[in-house]
Amino acid sequence: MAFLIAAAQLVAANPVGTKGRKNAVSGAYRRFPFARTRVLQLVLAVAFSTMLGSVPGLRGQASLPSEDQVKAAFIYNFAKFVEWPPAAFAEAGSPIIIGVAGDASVEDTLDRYVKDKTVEGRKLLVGRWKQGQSSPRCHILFIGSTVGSSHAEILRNIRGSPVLTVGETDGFAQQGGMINFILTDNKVGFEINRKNAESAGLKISSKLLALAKTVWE
Amino acid sequence: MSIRIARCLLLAVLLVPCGSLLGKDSQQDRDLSTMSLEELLNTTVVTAARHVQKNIDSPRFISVITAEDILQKNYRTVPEALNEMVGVLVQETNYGGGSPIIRGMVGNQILILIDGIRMNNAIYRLGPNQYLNTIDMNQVERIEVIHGTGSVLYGSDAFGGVINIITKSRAGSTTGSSMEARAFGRFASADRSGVGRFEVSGNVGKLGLIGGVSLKNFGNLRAGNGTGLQNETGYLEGDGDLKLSYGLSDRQSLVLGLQRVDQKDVPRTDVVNSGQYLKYEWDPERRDLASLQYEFKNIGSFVNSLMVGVSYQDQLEEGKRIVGSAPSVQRLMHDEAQSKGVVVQLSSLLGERQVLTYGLDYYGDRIISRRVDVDSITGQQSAKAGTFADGSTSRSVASFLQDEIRVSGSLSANLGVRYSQFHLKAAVTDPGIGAIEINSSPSAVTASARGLYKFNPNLGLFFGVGQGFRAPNVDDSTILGSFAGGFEIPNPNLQPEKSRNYEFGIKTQGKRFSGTAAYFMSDFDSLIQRQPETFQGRPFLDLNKNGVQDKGEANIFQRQNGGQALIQGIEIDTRVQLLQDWSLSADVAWIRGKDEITHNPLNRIPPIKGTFAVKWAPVKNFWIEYYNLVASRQDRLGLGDLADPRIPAGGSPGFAVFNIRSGWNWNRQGSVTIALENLTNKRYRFHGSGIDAPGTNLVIGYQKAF
Repeated sequence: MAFLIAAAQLVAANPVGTKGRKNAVSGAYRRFPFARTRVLQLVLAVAFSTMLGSVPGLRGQASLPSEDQVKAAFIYNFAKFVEWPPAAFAEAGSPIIIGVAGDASVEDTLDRYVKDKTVEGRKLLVGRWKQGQSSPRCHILFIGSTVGSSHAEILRNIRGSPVLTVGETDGFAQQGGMINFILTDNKVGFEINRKNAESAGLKISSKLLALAKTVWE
Repeated sequence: MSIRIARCLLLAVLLVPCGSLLGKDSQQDRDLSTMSLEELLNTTVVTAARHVQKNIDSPRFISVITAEDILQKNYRTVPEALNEMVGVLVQETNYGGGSPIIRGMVGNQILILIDGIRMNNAIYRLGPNQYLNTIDMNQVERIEVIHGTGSVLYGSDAFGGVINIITKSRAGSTTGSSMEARAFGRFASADRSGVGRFEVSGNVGKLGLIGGVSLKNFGNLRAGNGTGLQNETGYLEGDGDLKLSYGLSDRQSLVLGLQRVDQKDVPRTDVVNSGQYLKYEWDPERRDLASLQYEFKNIGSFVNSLMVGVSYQDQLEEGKRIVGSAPSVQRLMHDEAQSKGVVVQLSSLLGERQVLTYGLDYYGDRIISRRVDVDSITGQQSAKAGTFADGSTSRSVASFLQDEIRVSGSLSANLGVRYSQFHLKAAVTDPGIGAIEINSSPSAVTASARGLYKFNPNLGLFFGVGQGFRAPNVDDSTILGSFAGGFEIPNPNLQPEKSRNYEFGIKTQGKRFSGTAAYFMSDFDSLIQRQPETFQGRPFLDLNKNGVQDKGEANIFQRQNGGQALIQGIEIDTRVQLLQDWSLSADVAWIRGKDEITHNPLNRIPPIKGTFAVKWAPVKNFWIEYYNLVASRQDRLGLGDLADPRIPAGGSPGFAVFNIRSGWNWNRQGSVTIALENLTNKRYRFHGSGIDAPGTNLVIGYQKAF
């Protein structure tokens, strides 16, 4: 904001000062060459700043991935470290379905990440979770924070189903969820509720458990 | 020439943040799925400023009514939902109203936002008002209340707190389309009311949408302990809303929101039942809102996010009044506030430990206020001056800056500053005085500094000091005319009311126990109060210019800055997960307010109030909860309270009300809730209210998806 105020002041400044601005305006034709120069200055400044703004490195640090990109990558990886009961899949080659509730950004990124990839010979598909649908129809369900506290209702509805539930909301792991993302020092980590996962028939590998910040039993 | 080149270059550097927006997207669309878990854990990310901050990480006392609360507790209105919140007492002058009192502040001293857009306008008066009830509860996703001043980020009126109503929305999707319809219903026995809503939501590709229509019929309200029906309480309401959310890309979105709330035959109960008025109702009381918001998130580190929002809001009140002393004359009132708003907000990351949030906001109001008196005997109509100065305008322009700094692993700080400039223009006329023009331009600079020290991830100490302000609006500055105690003349030189607020508290969020406790103290000055004044050298309205105060020549008063007050209090909110199926919650708030000049208690200070609840949810589709609401007697009354007919002589009695509610999902696409409120049929009313609260009340709610 300070930048914009200072910029406005620079553009507004003129040799006759604040009180004389009215005279400067009314005498536009006399002042026109100056005014034209002032407009030209502004145009050049905007063009120059656009070039400056577009040069890598001048923004102060290398560009960082977004929180959603990292979470989408984690969700894809979770599929490699979880075992589902055989009954969770109709056939040997059935895909692993990842449902996303509420967060379109994670859904879009995840859709790109899983394209043409497989886990244990199974393809991965991404779909939108529909509120109130009668059965989970997915093997992993990411419940975004934009769902708000409806996540509690979703968790209640699918309790006991072999669905790995992943969230990013306070208390998610204590309210029936299995994996909850935590942001600390601008790095994404996660906590796991092993009891909730095992009661749904899922087995989480020891490697994933070892990397969790907290494991709730 | 060299000076001009230097100025040009300096301007260019200052505009670099804008340039980074005009250039290509700063973040490469990299595929992180090839990284290992360990690498992902060590990856620093760009976080969206204004991200949904965990309550434990915020240096403020924040209360939330969640979507689950709204679904289970089936609140009748937004004001009544707030009555179960710690530190909030809702004063109800009439059944169609409901004005929250937060930390001793009420009316235009509380800022109401809808999806971040100001509802407060230039004719919000000091004292309780009914405008919070012009939001359809069925449209609400969640409600967040920031206790204490929020003037730095949100501007004028955020003295006692900020209430942000967040409405439902649905996102689009790149992986398919889906749509569903839902029907909601609510029935209550105490007012024999019926509420119905039909709602459609889903997405068509990238376009998410949710819209609905609500119809409500509230009958006269039956109070407890044999009081019976309270006449002149019921009213009708019809609402509609639509929100469209379009994903321009995975980081850019455009949201269009439309809302209408239309209430009919809304009576003001206290003045009719007292005989002061034979008729006093709003028909209609209407609010329309249109808003468009563009958001670009995760742009880069220097400019991380951009939000631009425009809004138009129209608040209309058409009143029908018949004064008891003039039964043949009906006053037809038309008071309308047309408000436009523009907000531009950006955020920037400075390294890994600092987030700047900054921006501009503009709000402009135009007031239409007229009155026509109709003589029911002769049929004659005569135009009179409206409640407010017709044609008056009010504008505010402000810039704000907030700096969130992670000083160390345990300590974080939040610094903020805001500069606001107001302009108010009005012309008022009175037959006895003539015309007066008002043209004022007050300004205010406010700052705040807050901190949070975390002993561990689940326990933190928060503290802070902040300034608040409330700019004089049309209601403050342009009143010209008679009132019960004299004749008021406008004051074009009013300055903003100011406060300094000090707060410290502790918050914890653990596996089984979570809670927040805070002590606050607020010191107010320049409060706007009505004071004796002179006009043309005389302290009375000298209509016949004879220099002597004759009968009918009232004393002159004027609103002036001069009041000083001190308010302090304690708020405690706790929740305990006892076992997997059992949970407890309890809260209590104590507050004390004093006029620093007269040393009298302040007006409308709430009594000690608290709630207690026990909830059992043994299976996934059933829950049952007992809860009670307790308030102590309030006999610390200000001078205004003593003269207020809504407050009994000697003060408002205390009360305890016991309730049970339960709910179950009878299949995955439907749910039913049943509540039995006020089990003992207690007769009670909230301090300062004009009506009693409901007696024993059976409330049934249901929802079904199609």
